[in-house]
Amino acid sequence: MKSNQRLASIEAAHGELVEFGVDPFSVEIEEIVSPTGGIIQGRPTILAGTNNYLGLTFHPECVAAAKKALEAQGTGTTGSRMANGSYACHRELEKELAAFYEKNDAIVFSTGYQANLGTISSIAGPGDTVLIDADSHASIYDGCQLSGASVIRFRHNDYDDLAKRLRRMGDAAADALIVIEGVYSMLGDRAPLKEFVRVKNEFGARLVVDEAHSLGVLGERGRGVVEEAGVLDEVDFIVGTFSKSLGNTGGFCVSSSDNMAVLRYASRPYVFTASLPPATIAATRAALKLLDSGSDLRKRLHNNAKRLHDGLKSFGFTLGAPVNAVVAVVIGDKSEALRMWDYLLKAGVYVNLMVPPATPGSDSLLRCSVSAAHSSAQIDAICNAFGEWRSRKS
Amino acid sequence: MNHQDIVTEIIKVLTPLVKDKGVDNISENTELTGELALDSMQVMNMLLELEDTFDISIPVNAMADTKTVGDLATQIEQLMSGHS
Repeated sequence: MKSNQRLASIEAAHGELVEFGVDPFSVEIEEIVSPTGGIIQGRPTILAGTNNYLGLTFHPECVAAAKKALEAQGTGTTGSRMANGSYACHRELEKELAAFYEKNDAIVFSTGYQANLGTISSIAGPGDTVLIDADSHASIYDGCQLSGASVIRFRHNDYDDLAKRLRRMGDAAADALIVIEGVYSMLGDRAPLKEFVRVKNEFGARLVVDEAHSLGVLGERGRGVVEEAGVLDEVDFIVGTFSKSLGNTGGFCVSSSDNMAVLRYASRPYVFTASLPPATIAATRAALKLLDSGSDLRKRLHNNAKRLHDGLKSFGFTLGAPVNAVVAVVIGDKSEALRMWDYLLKAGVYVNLMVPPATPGSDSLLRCSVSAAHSSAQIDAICNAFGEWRSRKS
Repeated sequence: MNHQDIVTEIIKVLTPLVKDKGVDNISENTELTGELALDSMQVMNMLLELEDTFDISIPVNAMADTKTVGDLATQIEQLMSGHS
């Protein structure tokens, strides 16, 4: 196969890792024993990089619901909902999501990635303009590309920069689509959503908020930054995933737009892929119920996040954002981050290594995601492993 | 502002970005990602700065066929005159 420019640069980056003798992007969890524990390289390891925010992957109610659906409805749907038919459970989950967000309708997608791809590419088309945060997730960039719309970036979390760009558009700003994330996955920082809503209202544009990393984490009922900021009614489309707080796989879009039925059929990532298996839908529905009534889970999550945040701070680490379920330790130099990641793994702590261009700016990060299921002892062990690295260095 | 003025402004923004790369001379024909080896973050930061300088928004998709400083100047010229 002839290597293109993109493959060549990936090959070069991979070669660097091979030379270094560590490949953080091919970690194998040999055995998963709990939401926060597994066996990696033969060692018991604390999982602090899974996005399992509420720790529901092993919850008895979710597991029982999945087992029941598996036995009653079989292993898979073997086709797309449009071509091969929806199961009743797909529609039930959509109704439950719409009710949870107090919106008129919802569309379920087969992954969170496809939820952004399918939502953006069906709302916007050639001739439209989509304005996105410069630090947007790849699924947002890819959704924009699939839409064929003109794509304009604004500075990260900078609503004044967004307003400046909308102003330049003149009357066309009223037809623009703005896409932001509630919480940004790399640093764990939140969007100033009230201000973004004010700007979108000023110009009459529409707003999509991706709540992948805030569903179940923020807001009184876990509805994310839109709920925390008190702007649930004013956000036009909310996108989310089942693969983090809900402990499954899949994604969704909820909205009160009159066009939801049409959007569903205009969305290639909805139409041309197999629908979620019944067991996944059943486990997601069970998890959504737990999430909705889960203020105790959120309390545990926030206590754990604060414990980790404060612990790492006490060792003098620079963190990416105020306390949140994503705690990113800013390392800077890539080689240092690689060495540290490897040290932590050998000490029994798995975190995510993030390097440019996936990270904002030029810094490498060691990204931890906290779970409600982490014990205090596990959080302390994570902090201590980081601290031991620091004391070894000094 | 004519094409050459825009080229001059682009070079002004680019020069500090590539000061450590041993690039002696940036001209209209210099390739942005090839010769200057700008990564995606550097390209994005350069564009944000140029957008402020010229009070325009450069669509991400407009950059697909933009290889040289001169191509970028042509893009900016078109956006400033309301065509894209």
